[in-house]
Amino acid sequence: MRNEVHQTQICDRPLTTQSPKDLLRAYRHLSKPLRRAAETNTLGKVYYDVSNCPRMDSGALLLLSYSAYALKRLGWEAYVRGHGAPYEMVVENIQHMHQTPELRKTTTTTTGEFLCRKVPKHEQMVVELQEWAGTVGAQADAAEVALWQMQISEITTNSFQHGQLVEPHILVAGRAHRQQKIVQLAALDFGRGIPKSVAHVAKQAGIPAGDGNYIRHACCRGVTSRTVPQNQGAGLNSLVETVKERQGALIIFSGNRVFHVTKGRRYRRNFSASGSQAMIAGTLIVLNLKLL
Amino acid sequence: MENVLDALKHVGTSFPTDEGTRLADVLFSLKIDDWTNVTIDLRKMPAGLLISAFFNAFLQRIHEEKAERLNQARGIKWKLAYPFQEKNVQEWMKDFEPYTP
Repeated sequence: MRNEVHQTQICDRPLTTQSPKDLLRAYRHLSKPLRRAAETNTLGKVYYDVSNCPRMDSGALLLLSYSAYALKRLGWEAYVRGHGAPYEMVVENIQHMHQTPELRKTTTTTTGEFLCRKVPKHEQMVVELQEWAGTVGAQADAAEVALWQMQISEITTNSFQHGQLVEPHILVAGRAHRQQKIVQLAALDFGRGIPKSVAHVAKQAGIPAGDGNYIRHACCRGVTSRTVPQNQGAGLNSLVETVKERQGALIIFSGNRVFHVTKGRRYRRNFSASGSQAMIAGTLIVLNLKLL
Repeated sequence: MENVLDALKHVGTSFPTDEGTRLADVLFSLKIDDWTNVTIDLRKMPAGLLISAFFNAFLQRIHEEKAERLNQARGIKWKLAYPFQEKNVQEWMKDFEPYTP
């Protein structure tokens, strides 16, 4: 029998995903125990202590979930402990995610949070997102909420069509800040990732090799891997257009690269550390939009 | 005469591509000769259903079953709850390129 190891990861910095730099910092911090666990031939437990974490957003919550599920696949267990706002946020979201569907249906929030939920089956996706959008209550008007619902559905539909997803398939979370006039929506899928999905069509189109180039190509209008005949390559492009219109920011983290679209129509790629192994097996998409 | 089709009575809330295909099948089953007078009311459908994949699946099914009616289908009028949806649908109807395996 192997010895059990206990690791504590002290999260004493902001864990946010407002910019590619923030996102990569949060990812590196939260995935540290995962890397250590992967390197050892042991089983164990990881405790994320968020007592001194000044703030955490929805994108970071999904990164934390990513690490926890990846640890679980290695046979490890992950726990969050501490006190304060980030801790309460994590607990509220995780509790919500594990509630029965009947209880989840009745949940509303007064703080504008789209509490974390799993979208495990493609045929339930629309209903899950409808309920999820409904939890935000009076933090935004109906047209805004419908727009966000559409955007997230474009993302999750892509994931189901291309992703070859593994448990827990897709997680979504978000928060509308009425006073700050911003909303953040985040979706994480546990699939093969955008670069792998579009690599063959990108190569055919003469796109230089590289995850960042492939993600960028996937965001262009009309680019599709034709996994299913109905695909027209409109989904990711629709997110890009919304971000440009609404003065927001879109961050796509998949494989080894973070791809960033801002209101200034400037595309930017942020290169990760070297290495051939994907940093993230799947795709995290974070949409930051201004509330109108 | 204008034919108004209330999608809520015919389309469910499963995966958008499945429901888009179903909507096209419903349209065929109604045996309407001229689709330019057809209006499909989607105002009560969830916003998460009314994405590009739904409309592309609808047009793809039309193309697969009766390719000669694709242009008529592009001219179908849609009743939608929000202006952003109208703009999107207009674009998707215009941009759709049928796929023949």
